[in-house]
Amino acid sequence: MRRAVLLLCGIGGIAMAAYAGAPICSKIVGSCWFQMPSYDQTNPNFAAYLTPSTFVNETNNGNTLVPNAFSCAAGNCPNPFDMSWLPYGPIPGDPYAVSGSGWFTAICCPTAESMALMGAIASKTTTTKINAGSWTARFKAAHAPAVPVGLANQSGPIFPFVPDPRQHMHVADIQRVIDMALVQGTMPNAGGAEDYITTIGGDFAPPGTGSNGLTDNISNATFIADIKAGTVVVIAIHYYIAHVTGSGPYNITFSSDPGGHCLAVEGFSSIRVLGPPRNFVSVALNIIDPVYGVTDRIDIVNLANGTYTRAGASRTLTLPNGWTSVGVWPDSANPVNSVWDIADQEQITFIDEYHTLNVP
Amino acid sequence: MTRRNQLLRVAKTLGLSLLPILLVCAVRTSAQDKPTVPQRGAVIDSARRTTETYSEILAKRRLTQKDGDMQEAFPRTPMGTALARIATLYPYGVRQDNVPEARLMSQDLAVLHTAPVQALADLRIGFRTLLEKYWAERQFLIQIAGRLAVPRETIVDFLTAEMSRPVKVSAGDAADLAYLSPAAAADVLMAVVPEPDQRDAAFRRALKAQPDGDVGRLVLSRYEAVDALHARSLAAQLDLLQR
Repeated sequence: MRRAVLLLCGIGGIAMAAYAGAPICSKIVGSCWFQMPSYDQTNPNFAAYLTPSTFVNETNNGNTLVPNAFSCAAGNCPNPFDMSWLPYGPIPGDPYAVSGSGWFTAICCPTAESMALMGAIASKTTTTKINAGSWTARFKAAHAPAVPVGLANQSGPIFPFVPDPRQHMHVADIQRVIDMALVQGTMPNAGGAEDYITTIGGDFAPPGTGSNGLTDNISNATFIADIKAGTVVVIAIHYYIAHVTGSGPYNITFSSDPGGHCLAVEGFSSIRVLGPPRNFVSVALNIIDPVYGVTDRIDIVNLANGTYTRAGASRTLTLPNGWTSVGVWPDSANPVNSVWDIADQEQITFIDEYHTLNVP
Repeated sequence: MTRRNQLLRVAKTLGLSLLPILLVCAVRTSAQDKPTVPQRGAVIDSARRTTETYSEILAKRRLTQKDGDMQEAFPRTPMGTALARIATLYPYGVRQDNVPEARLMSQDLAVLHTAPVQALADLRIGFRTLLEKYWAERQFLIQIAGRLAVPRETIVDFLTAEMSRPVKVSAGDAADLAYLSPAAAADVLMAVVPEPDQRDAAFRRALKAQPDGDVGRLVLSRYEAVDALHARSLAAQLDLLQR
């Protein structure tokens, strides 16, 4: 079935689509992509601006402060960055980094959404307009959203703007990520929502369409269909612990392990390799990781509920959350390509959130 | 997705214990509201504040074999050691919730920048014997290499070598994306070589040396994403247009 889907997505048939808001598609191979910037949530300039006063109030509200990352007694280490968008300060090796530090910031989702929204704006047709005065118009222009929030009128900078050591983010790009974080309530030490891009279709004329997509059965074909239709996608991955119980037949269940990550989908690559022994289509999704702005290339393997038998052994897989099938984020050290690869107490990463925006 | 599930998923994404965040999120009228202020009350899971050692991470993540493989591949120098640890910790070290892994990886990445020429030299040595199954790690390190402050000709030489490297196209294993490593190198090349004529020359050199035409087309498609005119012209000259 999967092979058939891939073939349907075949190389030869891919051409510039007639629909509006299309991505760019290759004329050399079967690849399509959005012109999407690579944003890096560890850009040191995120440490230069303090978050709004509401965040300061938050830290004084009896809740846990951002953990101290420095190699000294807990609570006794001055950290000028702990209320910034990069609460441990610039990462090791970057300008103004504190010796011995690590890094932490929970702004992966607004960073991924900002990349995706920039991709959607870049791919819209010339006849589609961004409504003047809308949130998206201000985002594109990198305006601070409102007093007293926004990069331009927050406290800071703690240090002057420094060149991006990893990507090509400018002041406007930093502002866009912060705008996205503010509008959906992302806190740099604790995160927030991850689906604001699904709500802003009305900022375009004609309007775009946002959607919180499937959490079940996300596969390569899901992505390819959406990308070809001009839909930008932000995904979230979450971590689960496998429990293998019984003594044959075995039962495999999962429990949630805290943590997760948002990523932006740039496009896909496919290659049709003809002639024996290679006569198949292979597909890879190009995904931009907000950490360092690096691009990952993945092929999604799906796990589905059911009972599997092999050489007299039997394993019954039951996915959490009522899912019938789920995509697995690849791991070279402990690959999970089938139910037989799952070990007890192994942490497995599922691709289980899918947020989209289609701008005509 | 139900609203309750939506909130649960948001909370999990944040690496938080679920109960506090649910209590906080409950005050929101909708996950799609446009709040004017950040949400309050979320805290970092205290269990994730401890700093684990590299050895403890290896045990926890079942990375001992991978660590051995990486140490085998990379030279036993300060740069080689850092590269081996970076590769071992990938992708755990690029996940914001994995504070210990992210901390260690960032520190090792910083080490590379203290002697970038040596770092790239040790990377090339390691790549000679790096097992093919670690293609994702190779693609990550190629991107890291592109950010090292080394002479332009040095990094271009490295990248064109990667773009022309013979790779396996796995008909029997769709999840094996080793054949995309040359394309990953092409992306980095375009980032470090903005001049069209020099970029064109580098692609021409790499594609002439790439023994697999299908892989060459994938490399060219990345060029096409940035400069379609030059890429398609080059494809025509090298007989690499879509077949």
